[in-house]
Amino acid sequence: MEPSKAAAGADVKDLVEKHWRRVYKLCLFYLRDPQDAEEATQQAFENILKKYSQFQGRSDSYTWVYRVAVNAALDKLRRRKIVRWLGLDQAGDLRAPVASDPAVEMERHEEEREKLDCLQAGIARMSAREKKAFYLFHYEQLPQKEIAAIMRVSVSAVESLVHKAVNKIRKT
Amino acid sequence: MKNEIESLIRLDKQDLEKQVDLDLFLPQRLLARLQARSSRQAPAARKLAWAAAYGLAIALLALIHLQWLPGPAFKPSSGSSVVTLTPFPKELRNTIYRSFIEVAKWEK
Repeated sequence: MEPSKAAAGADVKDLVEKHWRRVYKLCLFYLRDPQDAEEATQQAFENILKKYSQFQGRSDSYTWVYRVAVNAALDKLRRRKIVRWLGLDQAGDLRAPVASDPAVEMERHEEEREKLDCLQAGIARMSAREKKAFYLFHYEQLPQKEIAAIMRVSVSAVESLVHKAVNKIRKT
Repeated sequence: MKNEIESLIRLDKQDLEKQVDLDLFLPQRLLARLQARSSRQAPAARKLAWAAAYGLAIALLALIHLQWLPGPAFKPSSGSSVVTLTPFPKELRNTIYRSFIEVAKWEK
């Protein structure tokens, strides 16, 4: 189905309503910036619509959505790094962190904030594959078998990637 | 240590959930943009534009690799003008290659 035809249908509405939280949360995890995460989410849905006919009726639609969402987030991350490297990003490090809501921040102790920064530093040190396995296992709490299907690797490889990812946080 | 990491992950997960909850109107915005985009896109023209852009980029890279770039035209006394190729600085070429390597490192 062409994106234009798909977009015209009610299916698109269902698709967005069903998956937006999952896709947006994943993009937030990768990008740590609501605006960038929204753009990546948008891109992920555009990519899904481009291959809508493949997507329709699939029993493993979640697997497919995760795969597309991760790719969109990584693509955005790559572009952001290039823009920063070229010095075109005027916002620089002044981006609002995730959960910059004042009410949330007030509740948070300084010590807790520092620990969360350490966690994010550990996440930043992970490879793309480790990060993907770590997110799906710890944040989405998917079974290792499903993660293996999403990442197209064996279950033991998933186990190893998650273990390496946690070790990187430990060392931070 | 393990428990500490798990509680940190839980905290971070809560932060992400809170941020998702703050963006209540995101699905509406996404839908509106998806519909607007699909109604105005011309897939064939866009694909052609991308193909042309990639072709140009590849041609430029080939010239850079060979250390040659199109230079200014000059007109010999005999008559018709010809376009010459001027040497492309090797250092600049290597800088461009190094930047590709840096980008490739980020992908890991």
